[in-house]
Amino acid sequence: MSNIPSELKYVASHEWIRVEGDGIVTIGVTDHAQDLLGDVVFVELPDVGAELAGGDEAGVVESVKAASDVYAPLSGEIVAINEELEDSPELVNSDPYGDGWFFKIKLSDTAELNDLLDAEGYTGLCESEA
Amino acid sequence: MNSLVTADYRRIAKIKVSTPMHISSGLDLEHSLLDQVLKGDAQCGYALWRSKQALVVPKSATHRENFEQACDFCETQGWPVVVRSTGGELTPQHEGFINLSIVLKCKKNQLSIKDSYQVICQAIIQWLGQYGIKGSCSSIDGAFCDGEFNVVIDGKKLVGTAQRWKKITDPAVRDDGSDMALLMHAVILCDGDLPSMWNISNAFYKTCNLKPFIVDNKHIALSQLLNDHGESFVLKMLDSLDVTLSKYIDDFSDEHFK
Repeated sequence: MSNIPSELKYVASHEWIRVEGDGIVTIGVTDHAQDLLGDVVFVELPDVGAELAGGDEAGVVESVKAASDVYAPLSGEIVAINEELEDSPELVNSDPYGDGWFFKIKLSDTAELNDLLDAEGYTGLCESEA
Repeated sequence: MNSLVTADYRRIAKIKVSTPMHISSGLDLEHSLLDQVLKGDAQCGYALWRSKQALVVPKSATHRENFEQACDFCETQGWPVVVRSTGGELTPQHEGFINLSIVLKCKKNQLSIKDSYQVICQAIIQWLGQYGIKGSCSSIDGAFCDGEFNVVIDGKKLVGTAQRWKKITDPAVRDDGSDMALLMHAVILCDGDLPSMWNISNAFYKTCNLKPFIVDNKHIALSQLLNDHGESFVLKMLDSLDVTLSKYIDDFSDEHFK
């Protein structure tokens, strides 16, 4: 079973969300997602300042097996991206919840946080895919 | 017939373009096919198409050292370089190759990346079986765009594959947040001067200061396996694959979308 930290929130498209305070959240892809993708070789991220609605395409992850879109799980403005991924995309595989984070969003509506899955809900989703 | 586009009551898109086109047009074609799934016009479908000579690279390649120089060099040699949106590695395209793009709608938890590779690989393996060719999936060290879902014949690569996943976001099309549109692509080495393609591919890598790794004897073309070649042979194979795919995708649709 993949690692699913209890303090994070999740969406069905396998992104995780860490609430940082001040209406800012950090987004990445889960351990389960990186395992499905295989070795990540490239990550394309949105521009800082971009305004995205929840569910919008926010980037692309290329692995040795496939390319898959990354989505903004919540609405808001991109306030930071992980520039380290440009030179070290393998961080997504080695540390998906830490150095492999993708971007930070300043939320436009914090009520959207209520729609996210908790670790238990996401665990159930992953088990249904096994 | 060129550009035959149909979508029957099961909403299956079937496209065959016999005339080689510029690679950008080919990539546009497969994206229009994917759009049909994203917009709900098709549940699944396929396109068979051919490209003029070119090299196709994933986005990751654009960040390599000397990428622009490598593109310029290959272009001067008659091999324009185009970026594609599916993963994988550098892949040559040629009039002698057959491209198969399959799209389908699926749930994220319905089909894994590995499962979906089996969908496209089994279609090709089934077709090859009609010619007495026994294909299987495996990695081949020294082959272009290597991966565990190459279709290989006696240890030599005949087919390369890649795929792209997109979430279906249109509320009118999706049932829930796990609905995905999947594009799978295969390039089949049907005919052509394979060594020249590996030479230009290796030159691309070399210009990017990467070790050239593609080895000619790790590949095989259908023309070698069936002892036939030329434009008429490629067209014959294209038509034959079209017949097999048409039934395969109908059966797939009946199984998954009925």
